[in-house]
Amino acid sequence: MKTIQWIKNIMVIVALAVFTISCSSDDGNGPGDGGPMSVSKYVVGFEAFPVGQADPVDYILELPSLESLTKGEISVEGQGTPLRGWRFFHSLGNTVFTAGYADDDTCIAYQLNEEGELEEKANFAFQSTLDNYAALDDKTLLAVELTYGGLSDKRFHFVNAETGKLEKIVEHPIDIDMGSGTAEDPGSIPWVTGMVLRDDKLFVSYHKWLADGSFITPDVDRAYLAIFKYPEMELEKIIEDTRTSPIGVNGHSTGIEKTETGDIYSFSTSALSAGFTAATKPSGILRIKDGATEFDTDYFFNIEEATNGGKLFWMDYVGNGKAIARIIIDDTNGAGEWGAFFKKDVFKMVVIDLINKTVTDVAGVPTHGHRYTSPMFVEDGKAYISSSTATETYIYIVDPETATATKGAKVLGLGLKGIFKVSN
Amino acid sequence: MFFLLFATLFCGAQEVVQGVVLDQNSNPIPEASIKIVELKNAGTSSDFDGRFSIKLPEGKYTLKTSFMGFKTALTSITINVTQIPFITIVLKESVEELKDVIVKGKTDARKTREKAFEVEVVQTKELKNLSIDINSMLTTIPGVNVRQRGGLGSAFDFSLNGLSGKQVKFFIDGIPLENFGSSLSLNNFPATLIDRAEVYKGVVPIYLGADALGGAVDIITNRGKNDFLDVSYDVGSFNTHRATINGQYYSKKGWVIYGSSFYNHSDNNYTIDGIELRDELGNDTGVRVDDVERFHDAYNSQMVHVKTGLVDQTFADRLLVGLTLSANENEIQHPIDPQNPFGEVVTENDIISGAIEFEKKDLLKEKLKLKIYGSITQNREKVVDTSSRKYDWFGNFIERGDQTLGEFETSKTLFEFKDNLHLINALIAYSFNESHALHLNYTKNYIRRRGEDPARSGRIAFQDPHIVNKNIFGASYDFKLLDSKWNTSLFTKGYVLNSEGIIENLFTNVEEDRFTSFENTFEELGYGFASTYKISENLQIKGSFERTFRIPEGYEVFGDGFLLKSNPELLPEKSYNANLGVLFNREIDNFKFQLDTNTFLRESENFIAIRSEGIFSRYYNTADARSAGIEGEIRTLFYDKFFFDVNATYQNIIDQNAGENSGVDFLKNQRIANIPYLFGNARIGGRFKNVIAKEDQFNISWSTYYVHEYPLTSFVEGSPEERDIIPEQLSHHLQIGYSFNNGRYNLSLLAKNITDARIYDNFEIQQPGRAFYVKLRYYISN
Repeated sequence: MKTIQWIKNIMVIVALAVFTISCSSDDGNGPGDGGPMSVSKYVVGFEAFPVGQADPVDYILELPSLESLTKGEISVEGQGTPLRGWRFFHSLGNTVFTAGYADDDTCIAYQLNEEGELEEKANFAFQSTLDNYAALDDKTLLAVELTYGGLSDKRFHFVNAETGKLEKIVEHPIDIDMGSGTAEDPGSIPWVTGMVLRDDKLFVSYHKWLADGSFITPDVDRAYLAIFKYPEMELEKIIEDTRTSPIGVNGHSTGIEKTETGDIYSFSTSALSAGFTAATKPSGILRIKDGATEFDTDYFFNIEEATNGGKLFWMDYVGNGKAIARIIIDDTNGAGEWGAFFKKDVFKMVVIDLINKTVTDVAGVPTHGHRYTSPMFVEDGKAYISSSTATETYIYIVDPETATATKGAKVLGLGLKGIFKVSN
Repeated sequence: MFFLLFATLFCGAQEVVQGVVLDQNSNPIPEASIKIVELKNAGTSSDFDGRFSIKLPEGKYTLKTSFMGFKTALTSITINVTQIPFITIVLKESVEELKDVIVKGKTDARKTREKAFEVEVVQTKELKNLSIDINSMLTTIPGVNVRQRGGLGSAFDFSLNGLSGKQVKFFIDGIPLENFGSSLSLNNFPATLIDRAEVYKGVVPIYLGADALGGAVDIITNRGKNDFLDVSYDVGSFNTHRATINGQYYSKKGWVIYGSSFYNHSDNNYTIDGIELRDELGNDTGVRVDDVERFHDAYNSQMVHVKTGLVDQTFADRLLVGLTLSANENEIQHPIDPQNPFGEVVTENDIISGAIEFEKKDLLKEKLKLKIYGSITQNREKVVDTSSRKYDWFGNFIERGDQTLGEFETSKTLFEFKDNLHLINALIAYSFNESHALHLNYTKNYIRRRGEDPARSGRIAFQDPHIVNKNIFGASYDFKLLDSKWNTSLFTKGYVLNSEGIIENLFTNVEEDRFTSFENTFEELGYGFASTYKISENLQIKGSFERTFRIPEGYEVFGDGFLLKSNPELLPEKSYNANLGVLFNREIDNFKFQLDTNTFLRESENFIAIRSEGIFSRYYNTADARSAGIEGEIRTLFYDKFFFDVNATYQNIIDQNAGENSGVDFLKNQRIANIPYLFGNARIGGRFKNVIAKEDQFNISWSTYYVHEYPLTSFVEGSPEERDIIPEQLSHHLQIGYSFNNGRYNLSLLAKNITDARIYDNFEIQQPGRAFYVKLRYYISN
């Protein structure tokens, strides 16, 4: 027995020594020397559970490694920074932006500092709400301020991703119908659902609201899209297509997206549970070919008629001509009351092959809900997506090639609004 | 006694003089002190029926009769063997005479505190000369926390043992203030206008008819039968002006007129700190500016209340009709986030109310008492938000491109809702004998709400009227056992709530689905008891319990017909409330001591809270909360001059099912953030009489208010260094008052927040700094 105890003690000492040495050798390259350390971290926008009568609180939380997303639990117990009110999360380069919605009108930029800790770099205030976002190039985040009523110009905010500062605001009506000022003809206003910069052209997809603040969507019999000269922000033209309904869904910034080849794909929902008050055309996908400034008349993917199809709620391009999407299982569930935005039994996840026009159900993701998604996080060709059922939320790691998903980390909150990777 | 013995020996011939001490209404005053001015240490006190007797040798004497709350009376008597008078001494009520709760004689306040219910009483006698409103009065009570958003007239959240908002109900003279607008809320009423406030913690007697989940506050106005006129005016920092008139007149034939009125104004232009400085585009420059003046925060309110009728008639003890008019205008300086000021948003409220009340005691051989009250009220609340400007804290603004935007709302609004209210309250009390009584109470509270918005063309909230009809029935059986040492009240309450209205669904294309009329009924039965036992003259224990409800109102269940959606499955908030307390008094020579402590438990289910769903929102049953805590108060008085009072409250409020559905263990039973959990008050001071002139009084006191820091969003989530904290609050206040000519003229000075501390009741919403108020008050009575 004594021998065993001896061996144990020696093992503990050796282990401690090894630990100490390894730590001190690490320190040689680390902040212990005071020198900068190159670090990459994962950052998530975390929506916590409400406690008491309060509204849920959003946190920004840094995670050390990819393994934090694939295993174990993600929680803000004792960690993370609480933010104010319901928020959007977006990123560009090594900056994560988070903009408040109702309770806060500032957009805060977070970066890793030299020590590799996440900290606020800058913030700017806006007038009411920043509703749609796009990473235009390596340096510029574009955020547009929209309204649910009124006939004013929309405000495009150009934000420097390195400094986190707002550099320019351009106001433009995009596509406003001024109406006649009567209750019968209040006019209509655009609601931006996606923005893509291709060469010197900015493509802006949108749907419309009646300008009287009634939350009614007019003009649902076609898809439309504005093309601006960039950086002049002069409207070149508005293109349309009558094969499907208006492009995009409120709160998502991926109504249109560009592929590696320069083609632009759009999705239209036609869903009454996704904020539209009328729908006459099928949910589907349109294309604008590289170099073209019109919808490709040879391409339309009718998702409702496709095998495994239905009405799209969200779609995000992942690469190699494939996109991951959420399809509304039953559009009557929450129709007219934005049910797809808050119910937890509304979606199935699919992989869409844009070129071969196929829809494949993703195996391993349950029927779920998810209100708001930043552009999807992809690493090594795999997408990391937060999805919630009525009782639990997980990150699902989706392989678009095989249309299979594995359950990653459990999220101890209402959901992740965004997953990002940043380096200092 | 020693003296009497001595006097007997000395004087030989002694006569027994008898008499009675009465108040102006011929009610006996027990325990009044009667002293013989001419003889040292000679005196007695009146018994329970006000009667007294004293042995005196022949001669001329002056009797000095005094009792707290009354003016001291001097009565000359002559005693000789042939003529022994029966002396009737009538004491007049005196506002200036301090009616401290510690005095031996039982004031109304003392009687109320000794009831079986867990109740706190704040007498305003001493506070009437100060520049304070009822809210600041109630803040000094253990278990009560009032969180204010700003200066005079600002929105507030009243919390009682951890329950707040609609869970606590307010009454004036037993009549519910529910659904009355902001111009009649507690922060408008200066303390001068009322007699006292009673705060029932968790367990509420049936005569306060409401679905009060967490307790009730009853404001008692003057009830004396003397004629008086009470006029006050006070002026202070931030251009604050307050005036009150209060008076009543009784004719000999039984006609009475009573009137009261207040006027409040303040610019509330105090300065706040830490305002962000931004460049033209809105980028944060990192510079923070202190001492920035609030420029759009003025508040103005006024009220007139007149009541007249007959008293002491054969058919009625009281038959009165009353009229109340009130209005306010409140500039809104900012939303929840103080960094974004408004420059033009205003809310307005006006109320017109007519009431009739009837009271008859002594029916059925003096055993039955009947009280009926009815009123009709129109209440209008309006939001004026018609500017599209965006202001900054330095008075600059830009015209926003979107001219349909309001400052506060997403589109300009002149939204107004008009409520028509009907209220009936009937109370029957039947006494079987001195120790057994039965009470029945019925309260009907009917409200019809309709919304209008001339600034909007589309759909608006409450466009189709909603009706809520609340009926509360109560019955209680009160009995005293063991020589009145053990008092108990058993009670039950029935709640019946009907609501009805029409909802239009704008988003349907099917015409038949467009309008849905709804109607529903909630019925609940509550019950409870309150019991107290006097172990000795000085020691009393109290226990009370109630199963109580708050019934969801029409709009909580059915929405507002616009962006607030319906939730027909919404359940009432329910709670088991329990209190256990001890009351202890001791008097040792010139030291009076009172200890009052209470432990409480509020086991509540189905808290109703609003949640957003896209552009919509909806009420849900959310937390199952448990609030457990202890509160205590010590009051001391030395030589009837110097006092020191201190109280403290600790409460632990947890959400018993947070994260439950998601299998998240660490959130279960988590403390609910953004609620103060440790707070207290202390007050030290003195009262001195006959300082400069006869019948004058000088008061000075220092009070301190403390709230321990608490987190905004969570006790456990977020890095401890990053959590938002509402910092510790410690504020000091000084009051100095001088009254002369027996309380006819009163002058006071109040210095609030003397140290000019940065204090916060809500996250980052700074409260006023140092402020001074001077008040003049004139009081005359017969």
